[in-house]
Amino acid sequence: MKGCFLSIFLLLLLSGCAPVGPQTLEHPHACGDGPACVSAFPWGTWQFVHLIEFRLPGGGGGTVIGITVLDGTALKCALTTTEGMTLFEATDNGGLSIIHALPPFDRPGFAQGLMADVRTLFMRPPGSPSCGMFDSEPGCRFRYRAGTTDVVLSADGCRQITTWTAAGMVARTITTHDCTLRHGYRLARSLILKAWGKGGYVLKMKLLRAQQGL
Amino acid sequence: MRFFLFPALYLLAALSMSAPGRPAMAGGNSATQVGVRSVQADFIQEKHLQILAQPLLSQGRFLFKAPDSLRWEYTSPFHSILLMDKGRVKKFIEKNGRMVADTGMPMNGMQVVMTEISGWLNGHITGNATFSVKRKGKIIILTPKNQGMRAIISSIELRLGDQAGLLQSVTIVEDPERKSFTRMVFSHALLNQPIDEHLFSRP
Repeated sequence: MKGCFLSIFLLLLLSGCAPVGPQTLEHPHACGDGPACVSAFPWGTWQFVHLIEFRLPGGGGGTVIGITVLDGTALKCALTTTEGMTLFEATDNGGLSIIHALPPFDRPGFAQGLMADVRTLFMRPPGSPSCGMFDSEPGCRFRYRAGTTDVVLSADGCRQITTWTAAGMVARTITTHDCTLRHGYRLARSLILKAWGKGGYVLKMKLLRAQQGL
Repeated sequence: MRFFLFPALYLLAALSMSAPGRPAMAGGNSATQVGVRSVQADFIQEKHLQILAQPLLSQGRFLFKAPDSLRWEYTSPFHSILLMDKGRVKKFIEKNGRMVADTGMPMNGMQVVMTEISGWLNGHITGNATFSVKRKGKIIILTPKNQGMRAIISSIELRLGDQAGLLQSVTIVEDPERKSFTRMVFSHALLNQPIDEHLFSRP
């Protein structure tokens, strides 16, 4: 009985930390490229530059510049100081290749985590989505082996993205603000990415420049 | 984040070395001896990376007042200011229309960097344990002596301008293959003109 209470207590404790389980997608139907999905991720070749303010669990943080280059399935990204010193540079085209990494950006797992952030932000998840409604807002859901990605199109024309692990735990939430449709992509002037779980962090990103078709 | 300020500060030091009477580069003359009381200049910065299709461009303004006051201000694509006032370093970034102190870098690290820079500003080039110095015509090449620093900066190249005492550009090369580098090109430079003191203490 004690064990049961403890389990319930732990469950309640965890559920207070992070959303558990994807919310219900109402009226789901296969949609291929529904309106919420088609504009949620950029297509083709893009180069984005963001000013990134990061906050770590222990209270530390700072500001860096983040550069993302999308070229088909190839993903390239870099972090520099606000003065331009390269802190991290890597490419991922089916395999991660680190070009440059200064401490503490050379820690094990950092590159993988960063690339996962960038993929969540800019890369369309694998598979065909189902479209429907999340509460009263249109959205779509991608289900794949490693988890689920939900995209909600808000009334203000911005998208909100949530990724879930295969176990149903929220992995990342992205809220976007001040969006405009550009080359078929809902480009956000600012966004907040929150990584949940142990070692979670928050990134506040302000768009400095977006170039398409380089 | 220890090296947050390195590029800008190296450049500041480099710019201050570009005074008339270049013997400072070879003979260790002090900034005072070569007559630098202040320097002001606009700059355009190009950041080149292996992954970039096009370089990142930013611009701003640099102020230096002897012996140890600096203002390194980026105005585009975002507003940030690096200040050194009598050895004390502060950094500010504009957020929601206000200049906010950025405390991302440990102050201890900043003090270490500034100690190094202060030496350069005083013309201690030949005696510097950090860099070796070579000159090829109008180009001065600084190479880190320490292998650890070479992992961060491969070399720094200063191109002297036609006008005595001013630099045309500074290039910080980060890798030996020269795929990653930052070049700053200066313009509208003024030497030894008065600069308001508060520009070194307030954003």
